[in-house]
Amino acid sequence: MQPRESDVLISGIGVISPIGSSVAALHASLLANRSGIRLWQSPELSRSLPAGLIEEDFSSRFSKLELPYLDRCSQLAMLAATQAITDAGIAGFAGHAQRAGLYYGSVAGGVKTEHDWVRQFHVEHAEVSRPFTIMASMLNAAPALISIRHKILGPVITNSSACSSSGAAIGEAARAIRDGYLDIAVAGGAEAALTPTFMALWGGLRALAEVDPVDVGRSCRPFSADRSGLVLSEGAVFFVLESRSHLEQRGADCYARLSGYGIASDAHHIGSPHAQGQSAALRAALQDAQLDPASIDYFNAHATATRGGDPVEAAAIREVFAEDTERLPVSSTKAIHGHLLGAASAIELAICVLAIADSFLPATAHLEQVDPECALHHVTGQAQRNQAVEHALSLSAGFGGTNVALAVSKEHDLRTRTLQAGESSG
Amino acid sequence: MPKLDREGIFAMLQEFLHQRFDIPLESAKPHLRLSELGLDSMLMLDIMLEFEDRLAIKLSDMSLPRDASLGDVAALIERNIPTD
Repeated sequence: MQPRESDVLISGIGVISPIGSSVAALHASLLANRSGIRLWQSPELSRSLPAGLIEEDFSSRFSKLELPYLDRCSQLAMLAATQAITDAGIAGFAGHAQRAGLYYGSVAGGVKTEHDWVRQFHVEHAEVSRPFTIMASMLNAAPALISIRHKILGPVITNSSACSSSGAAIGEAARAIRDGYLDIAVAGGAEAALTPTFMALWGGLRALAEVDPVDVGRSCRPFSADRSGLVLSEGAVFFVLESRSHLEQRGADCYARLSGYGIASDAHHIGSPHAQGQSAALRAALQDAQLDPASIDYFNAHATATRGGDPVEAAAIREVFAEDTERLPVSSTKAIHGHLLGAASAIELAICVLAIADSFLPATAHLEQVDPECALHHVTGQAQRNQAVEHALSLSAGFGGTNVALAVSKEHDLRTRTLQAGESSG
Repeated sequence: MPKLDREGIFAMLQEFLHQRFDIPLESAKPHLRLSELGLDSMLMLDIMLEFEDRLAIKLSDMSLPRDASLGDVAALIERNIPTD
């Protein structure tokens, strides 16, 4: 495809995740297929659960004057967004006035702060909250704080469409750039909802995985015949997206091109996915990127490892890719990072970008016996190195029926980043 | 409990600012503006509510001048303490 000035390039990535809190660490974990799923326990729940916990308290990274406003979700978001902005070599956005934007996705926002307040209300009989509690708990707290720190003066928009929240955020940011409204945008998502109340809320759905009796790290098994459910995780992933002309003017380099965005709704059931909406989103992304199914070299699936969800997605993939399904390498990296909810699309897009940048196919871990209903060309075992990836596609399907597909492509005209495999495992 | 005159109230204010926000005791001087310390109205309100709890008083008059100083906050607390 001929380069266009309005093409959207990915020039910065920031990652705080259960499998690494930098691009290099994420990359190393994918190559080693190292699981970040750990044992989660709470004195308030009798059931132990597997979870994508990040075993670091990030509060020491902020001053005590900032912390009252910073739920853990906002802390992760601030750190990942700052990492992405620094990675892109940008000092601040004030000079861009309304030509720079921030697009954010989250499911539960400052839910820990909110639930702590509910406890104070019901148990301690507090009649008013602390003055800043409302600010810390609101869904758009994180993007507000990021915009203040980095002086983002254009649109600051929060998307919440369950598991596709950050996908919609990234896609809409890319559209705003391509349609000429913005030159540059920070886009991504965050989630930090591993609280007893939130875990128990999900428990009601009977869709959470059991702790693997041998190795908790193997508890999430997408597409596997013996999968037992999804594993909730926390984390934040952000990108800096900018137009080709803006990147050229800055003389900066990039990772890849965000080549396509498709969004489609099931309009079917609030909690049960439908293949039709998913395939519509995939087709829309392919069309947007002017790609045919045969040109996709890697597919990062949404596959959360639920009984009901994985076969629906496999059906959608077969429908769109038809005879190419047998060739198309598919994996669900949730097997090692779990389900980041509001940051799920973002981390999976980052993984597609790394696959392109370092020419490898990420694998689905712990997939020994494929469920016949999920028959696809699965990448299993270890990541496959030295596999050129020109175009990759990622799908996210949210409760409520909003599906987002994002296509990312190798950039040939601008200077691109070279990744050193395994440069860090931290 | 320190003496509840202006000096005693200011010492409590210094202590709260130190505990909550790591503001060094010696740098919290009466003439300093809240804005110079990075304290916004919500954080300051939280400190005032702490005074309500500790002193078992109700701050009925919570008006502060524009760009208030720490001294203004101490004066606000003082004038809300019942005299009888």
